[in-house]
Amino acid sequence: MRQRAAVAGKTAYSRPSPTYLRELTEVGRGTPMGELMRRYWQVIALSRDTTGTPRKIRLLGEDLVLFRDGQGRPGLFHARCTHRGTTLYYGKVEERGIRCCYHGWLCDVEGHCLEQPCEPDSGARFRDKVREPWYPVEKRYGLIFAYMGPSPKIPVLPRQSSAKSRFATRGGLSCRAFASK
Amino acid sequence: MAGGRGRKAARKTHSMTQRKIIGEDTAYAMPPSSHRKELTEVGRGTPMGELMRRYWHPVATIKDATSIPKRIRMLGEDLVLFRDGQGRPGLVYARCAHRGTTLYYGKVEERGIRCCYHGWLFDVEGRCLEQPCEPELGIKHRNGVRQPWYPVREHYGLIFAYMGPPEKMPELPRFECLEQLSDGEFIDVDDRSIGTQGDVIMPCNWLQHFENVADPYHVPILHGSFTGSHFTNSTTQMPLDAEFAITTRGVEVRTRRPMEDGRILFRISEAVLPTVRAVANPFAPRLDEPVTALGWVMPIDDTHFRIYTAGRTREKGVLFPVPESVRRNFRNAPSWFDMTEEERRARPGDWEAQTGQGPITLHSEEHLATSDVGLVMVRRLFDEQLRAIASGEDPINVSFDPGTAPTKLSSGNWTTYPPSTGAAE
Repeated sequence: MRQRAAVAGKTAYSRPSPTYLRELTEVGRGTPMGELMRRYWQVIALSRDTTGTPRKIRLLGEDLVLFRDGQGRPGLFHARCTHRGTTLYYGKVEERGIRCCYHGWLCDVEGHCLEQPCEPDSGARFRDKVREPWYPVEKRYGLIFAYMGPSPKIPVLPRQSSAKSRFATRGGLSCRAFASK
Repeated sequence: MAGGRGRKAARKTHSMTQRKIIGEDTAYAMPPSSHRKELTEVGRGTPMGELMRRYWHPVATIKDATSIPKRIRMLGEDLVLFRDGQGRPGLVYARCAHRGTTLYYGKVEERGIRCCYHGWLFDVEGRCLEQPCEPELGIKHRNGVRQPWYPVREHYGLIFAYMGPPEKMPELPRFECLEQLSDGEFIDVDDRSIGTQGDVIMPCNWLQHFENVADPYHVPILHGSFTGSHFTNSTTQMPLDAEFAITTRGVEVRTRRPMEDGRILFRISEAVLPTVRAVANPFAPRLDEPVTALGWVMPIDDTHFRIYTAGRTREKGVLFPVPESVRRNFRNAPSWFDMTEEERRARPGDWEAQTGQGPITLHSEEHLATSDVGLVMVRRLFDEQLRAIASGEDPINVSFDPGTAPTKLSSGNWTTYPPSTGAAE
């Protein structure tokens, strides 16, 4: 007596293809959430990890290189040298900026090209016309923040007042209130 | 009131970080990036793939062809190399013409290679000799199938393959510097990618290496001032001057540098299309003789390459002896393989600089300068060859005349420039 199995309702077979909310999750260049994220200062590293040794940073889908020049200024670059594209991760940090390993172009923390040693007069004629793609960075609370958005929209680096931070660290009413609910 | 204002003012000072003014665009404004596909991609049916398929390329050393099938990946194609019981090398498409399993699992016999799955036997030119599961070993139909195969030749200790249209198959290229031997010299080969300063298979596009041959200005930086001399001090100085020329066979770079004994080193390197690097030994220059070894850049696929080198030597296994002092100075380690990632970061060489450009460099982001003229010439010369074959002409450096004399190169370490041997008209 074989019965045709009665299946109440649908099985997993008939489930629709799943999707996710791309506009809320994807953060690459040109995506809606990517553009939103790029309107804010983002934490990218601890200040003490920002040194004379270049450090790979990947943020919002972009490969970057972080370093601190000999004058103590942090710098954040697109990883690829603007000359021929090798990564500045292999670069050497100097007093005035970072020097690419391949042909020695030297750029300051805002991407200005200061030297092109294989060019006549170290590139005096043309070096001002190239700029290593760079992002502004600021140090606060022992952290390095970067702004990767459109220049005219750069906001003030957000601060937490010391009083407010104390309140928050005391563990706050809101947490207890939530827990007792 | 005053106190309150004072406190407020103090707080204001504390938070007085000004809104940062960015006068110019940052990395945010970078346009989307791209690479030049027609110059870099070598798969079947691509423009550069078709150009590459007009030439003989080394795909292995002679010793690699044995009765044990060997996987070869070349120009994005997966192939199997073997040597049959009669000593003939064969290079076939990896998938058996019958049901597609790989002939890498095949068994090499006297007359060819036998597939592991149903036992079809193919000779080195792909002819099907047996189909053991068919009536009378497939005598009725086996002549109707042929395993895809490529012609191969053994020369200079290497196995050369021709993967292009049969009617366009040129003569095997010959070079005078590998044919005129002095007393005690013989031709030796190296399959460890001399010139990459790193691992054997390099995970980036072949052109990143080949155009580097025409880039003498990376030498004084990457190999000179950046972490100390990688070669001899005379070869890693900033050149006194550099001349670049498109010749009848490629791009020639001439540099002059002072030597430690007061003489001038006249050094010539050539990028011979499509893939031959004619770079004189930068370690212990043998002066005033033609370049001792040639390297063939083998495009495995769009994002991997390796180098086969053949050269004159008097010592087996030694084509480019590296003095111990130079080795220590460069790597501070016996070899690249003994270095940590951090040590490689701190002491980059060609491996790091070229793989650092990514799997295929992004040409749209480049800012080429006057010192890049050599690689601009290489790209322009390739562009011309792509146009030539598109219009039905034959590209540079192919000959269909068996009597063609070996190519004479200018490359070498000289005490004065030799007469040019291939100035373009």
